Amino acid sequence: MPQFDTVTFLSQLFWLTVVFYTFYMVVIRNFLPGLTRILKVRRKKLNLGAK
Amino acid sequence: MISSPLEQFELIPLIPIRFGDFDISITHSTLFMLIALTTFLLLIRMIIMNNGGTLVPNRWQVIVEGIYDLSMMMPHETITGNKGQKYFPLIFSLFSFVLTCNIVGMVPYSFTATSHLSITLGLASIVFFGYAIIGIRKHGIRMLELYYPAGVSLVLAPLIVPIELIAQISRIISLSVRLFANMMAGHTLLKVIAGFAWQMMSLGTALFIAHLVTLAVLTMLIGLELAVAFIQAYVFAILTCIYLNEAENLH
Repeated sequence: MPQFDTVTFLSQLFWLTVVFYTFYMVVIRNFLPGLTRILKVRRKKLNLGAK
Repeated sequence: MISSPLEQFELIPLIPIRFGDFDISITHSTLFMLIALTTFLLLIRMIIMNNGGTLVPNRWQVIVEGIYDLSMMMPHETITGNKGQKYFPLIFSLFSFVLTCNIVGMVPYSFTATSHLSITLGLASIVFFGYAIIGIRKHGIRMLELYYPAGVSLVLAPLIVPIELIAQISRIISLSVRLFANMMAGHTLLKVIAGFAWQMMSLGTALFIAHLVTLAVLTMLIGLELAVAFIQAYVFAILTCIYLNEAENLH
């Protein structure tokens, strides 16, 4: 099976680290705040409507 | 020409990079990992472009908000004592990484990054070592209570310590091998059935009609595999939450 070919492990793990770290940082800095904001606004709007 | 069903997992170096004896070539799996994540980020970008989306969500926004809500609820409900909030970004990125990689792998001629043991082992070791570091920073030496719970009599110690030790070590294996084996088994099965249908089709009229049945089975299996892709991502995230709960609360 190609999965157990240990020669490829280094390149796989190296690029996984690079890609996942970049993804994590980009998501935290740029994407989650935007998503959180709309959900907060919606919750407040719904609460106002309920009163 | 019939090729081995395992051929689809072969890694092909696209851009060879070598530093002495270290080979860090960009391969298929890196490429499809990048494609999956870029698509996902573009989808979010499209939604939050005008000040964070619309108040009444459209269809794409429902998908992203579903993932957001799911990965918000998982740590919130699993990690007791209201400590789950700070793990939300980690769970969100792990869940969306595994989910998008699995889903992109379902497109014909693409590659599933999560069907490789090295990738899933890397993700599992993020969780496992992170869990150990959080536990030790929070509880110090009391982290060892995971191996020998307080209040257990000394007679039982030789029995309970090895059991707990095996349970701890098998976590990293269960996280990585479950994901890898599920993805690999599913893709191999699809390939075998598709090869079977192809052979039946090329054999003659009677079998040509019969091969439609095989194609129907293949279509149903693709639906099953889509479900597996989602369920495995969910299981990965929920197990991460359970382990983090132990690091926070010690049993």
